[in-house]
Amino acid sequence: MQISPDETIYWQSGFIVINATLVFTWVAMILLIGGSWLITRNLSTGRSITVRQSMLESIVSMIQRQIEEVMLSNARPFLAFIGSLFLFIATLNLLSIFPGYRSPTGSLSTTSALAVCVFVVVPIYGIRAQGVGQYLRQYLQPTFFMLPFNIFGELSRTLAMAVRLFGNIMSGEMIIAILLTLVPLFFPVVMQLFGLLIGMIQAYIFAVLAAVYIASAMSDAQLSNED
Amino acid sequence: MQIDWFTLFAQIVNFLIVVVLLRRFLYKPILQAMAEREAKIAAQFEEAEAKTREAEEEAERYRAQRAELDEEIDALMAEATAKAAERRKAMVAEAREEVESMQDRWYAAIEHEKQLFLHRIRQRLGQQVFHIAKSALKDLADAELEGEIVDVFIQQLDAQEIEASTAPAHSSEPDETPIIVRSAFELDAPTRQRIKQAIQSRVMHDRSDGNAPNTVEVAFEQTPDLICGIETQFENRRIAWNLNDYLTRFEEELSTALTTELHVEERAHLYEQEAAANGILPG
Repeated sequence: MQISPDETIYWQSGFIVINATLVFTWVAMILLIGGSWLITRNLSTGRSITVRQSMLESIVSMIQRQIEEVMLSNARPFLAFIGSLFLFIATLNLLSIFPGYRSPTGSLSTTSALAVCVFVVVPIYGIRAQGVGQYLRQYLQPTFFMLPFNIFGELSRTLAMAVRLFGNIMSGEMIIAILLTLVPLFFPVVMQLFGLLIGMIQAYIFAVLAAVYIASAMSDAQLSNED
Repeated sequence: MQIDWFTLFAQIVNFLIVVVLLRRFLYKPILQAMAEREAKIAAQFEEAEAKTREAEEEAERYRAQRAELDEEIDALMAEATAKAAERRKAMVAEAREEVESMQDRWYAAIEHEKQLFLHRIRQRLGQQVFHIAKSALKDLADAELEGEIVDVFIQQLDAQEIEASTAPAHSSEPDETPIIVRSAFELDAPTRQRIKQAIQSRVMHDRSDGNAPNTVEVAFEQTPDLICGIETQFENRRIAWNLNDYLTRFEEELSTALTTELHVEERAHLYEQEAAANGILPG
């Protein structure tokens, strides 16, 4: 039994491996970006707007509102990164409703990649907000001796993010696979619905945690200046 | 449960592509459209507010204009009413004046008519009485009225004797002017002689104190006004006989009767006038 979609390899040449994770990710990317492009191609600013535009506007403004609630600042500079995190993970997870599809978030490679992105972006925002010195000084707070703990905390929370998402999705898929062998009818459908819910929740948690980390990396003063 | 490093790297790249493309195709246009729509809505609200303000101002202006017009109308009405009242008063006064002047003219005409009528009556009556008396005397006593009148006149001249003795002599100066005897009818020569003698004896008698003239000048005049009578005046005395006194009394009585009749008519006329005035001009 394959635990990760990484193990389904379609094409391999040297160290380049085209596995199910990458293929399904590309499918999701095409759907996400292609859909956005199709809808935003001709946006209306008039009195009447299409249902699709209205839906996209609702999603974007909802994400914006959530970021503002978490970060207590203007969401605009973080919208692209945090919003993309949420939409990307949510799309990857929601597509599992189609049979034969295996969510790429069930692969530790994918979740680690996303966690690494957060790990890199957090100090970028932090340094941009308060400068290198001030940002690095945060690791010495409250005392110099806290430096190793702070560094370790940084690493461990990145690892936790990756493992949390991977664990939840992978376990959901595993349960469904096991249940299919035991109770083939009805019950796996309910579990599949649970899986969709969990997928959405995990996407939300991942995005919100990223927002929290970025917010903590920026000083309070800087955050309030963003307003 | 391993991490495939190539896959990890590829997924990082994939995610960055997703971020860039979503930013290009989703967030940017959507946010822009939303901002544009918000701006449009705000502009529309602003426009609506401006229009509302404008409409309110316009309404206020119209209200003010209407109030002004109302005031103007009230003023004009008041002015017109005052003018009408004034005009009415003037017209009423004018009408009253006219009526009064008409009344005065009417009264004057009536009075004139009355006087004329009385005068004529008097004339005609005198003449008639004279003729009747003349005829009656001729028929009954075969006497001339003129002669009888002269007889009565001479008798009066003699009768004045008694009065003269008691009456004071107003003038002691002898009078050289002739004594005039006026009569309504022609006096023949013998009659004139008789009258002259009677007057002379009268004068002689009156001036018995010694400064009496030897002759008295007597002149005769005929005046129809005397109405069937004869008179003379000397020594501040007037001796006369005629129908005048009777006629005067008759005239007075007739006048009184006419006046009473007129007063009744006048009252009736005034009553009618008042009623007419009340009908045309109430209050």
